Amino acid sequence: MARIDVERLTKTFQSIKGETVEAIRDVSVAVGDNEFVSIVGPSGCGKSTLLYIIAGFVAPTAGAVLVDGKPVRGPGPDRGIVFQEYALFPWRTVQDNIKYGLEEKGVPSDEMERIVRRYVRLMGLEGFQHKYPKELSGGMKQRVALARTLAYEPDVLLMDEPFGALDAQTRELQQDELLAIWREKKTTVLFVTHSVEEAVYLSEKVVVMTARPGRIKSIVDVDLDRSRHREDVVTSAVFERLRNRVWLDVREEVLKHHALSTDQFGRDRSD
Amino acid sequence: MIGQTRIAAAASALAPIAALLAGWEILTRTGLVSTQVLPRFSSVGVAAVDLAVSGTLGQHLVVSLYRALGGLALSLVAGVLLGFAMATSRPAERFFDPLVSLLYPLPKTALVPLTMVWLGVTDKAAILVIFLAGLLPIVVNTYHGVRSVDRVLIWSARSLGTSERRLLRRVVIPASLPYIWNGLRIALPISFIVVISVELVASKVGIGNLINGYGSLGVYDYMFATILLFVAVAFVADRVTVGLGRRLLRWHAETEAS
Repeated sequence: MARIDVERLTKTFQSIKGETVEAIRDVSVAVGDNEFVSIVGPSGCGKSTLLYIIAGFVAPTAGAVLVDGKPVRGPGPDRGIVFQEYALFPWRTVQDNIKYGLEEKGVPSDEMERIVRRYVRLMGLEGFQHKYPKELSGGMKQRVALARTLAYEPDVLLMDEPFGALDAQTRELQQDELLAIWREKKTTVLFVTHSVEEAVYLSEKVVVMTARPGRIKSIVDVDLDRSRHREDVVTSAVFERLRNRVWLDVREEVLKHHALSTDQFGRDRSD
Repeated sequence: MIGQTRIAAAASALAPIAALLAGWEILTRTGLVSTQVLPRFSSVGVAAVDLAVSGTLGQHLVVSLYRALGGLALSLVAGVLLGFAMATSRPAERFFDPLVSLLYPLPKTALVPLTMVWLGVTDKAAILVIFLAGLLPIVVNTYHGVRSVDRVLIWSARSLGTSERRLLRRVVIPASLPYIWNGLRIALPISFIVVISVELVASKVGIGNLINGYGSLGVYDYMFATILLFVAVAFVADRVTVGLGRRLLRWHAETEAS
């Protein structure tokens, strides 16, 4: 049985102008236990919407999401989420942010301290425990956000372009940290990104979505030797081939979307 | 270094005030402006010392502060409750929004004759007017604070195990505290302004009454001294509010500046 089963999900909503917009149509995906799956697609293809439905923040118009066979009816601690905008509680210090989910769970305080210490160490946040989010860099904030979610030990990790706001160097470091954590903790990850490179580098399976309304265009299995270093992986022929494959699929959709939103003179019709 | 820049900053803020006071003294001492119209600053200073030492100021200040801060406390409690209600419940918003919009342009001091009829020349009448004047900034700021809570914060809390019912206490209240504090900071000087306005017309004690009394007797140095001392008290109250906010809301980005 798959950990997450997305069954024929459709989501339509009313735009401000009163038009009915179909964000995703008839999407079915299965994510296996301990699997790392990425979703890529052109912007506006509904990949974040899909993630929010799985998280239980948004109700689907049709279809269902099953986690461990049970239908999702709202947000729950079995599915941890990490956002691009970090979403740390600004009134809580680093350690109190990490504690949040543990407090909700009712973990005894000495146990809580122990878990917080472990994640502070794991994420390289030593010396920053008592800082507030506004005093941290973007990369640091995202590490706190990840620690806050992991400390709760969710069965599934949902990530919505978590490294999208980071500079290229920080982003690569964070990717490798995430891979290390995923390998160590053996959690199931569903990762939304618009970076083909990132999707192929991180995941075992890449799901490509079409332009709006988002449907599944292709599912690409990524078989990379992850015991090797980053530079060896990204320069390998296998990586190159997979990246090109996914890139072409995404590009086709981007062009389609572009053609839809421009007239015959190439002018932008999207607004 | 830091000490030096702070001294320089304080000096540059004090310089215009010192220039104004010096100009005042020169104009009145040289007779360009008659002391019948404007007392000398030096005699205002002497009067201020006398007012402070004799206890006259304290006696009236206690009354004015009681009214101003009493009214403010009521506006804080009612304003926060109303702001939260309007921001979280559609029926509450629909009901209170027209009332708030109607109350907004009304000069609250225009109600003084009415409150005098209702409650007489009492503390209660003054507090009622101050309460109404301070209510709106707190309602409006609280409302915006609650409305601008980022949905990803709500979502994060929900997925970290916070129930719908506990969201208010765990997320919405802490997230909107800086806005509420800002409303309080706007309402504080309003309560000081309104208390004086009310006391000028409808009171037998208080700073406003003292100013009015000295004015009608033509004791202008004491009148000016009373005004200046009250300005000083209001200034200190504002700085204390800002300082307290900065300490309590240390986590908030905007409290860093100003």
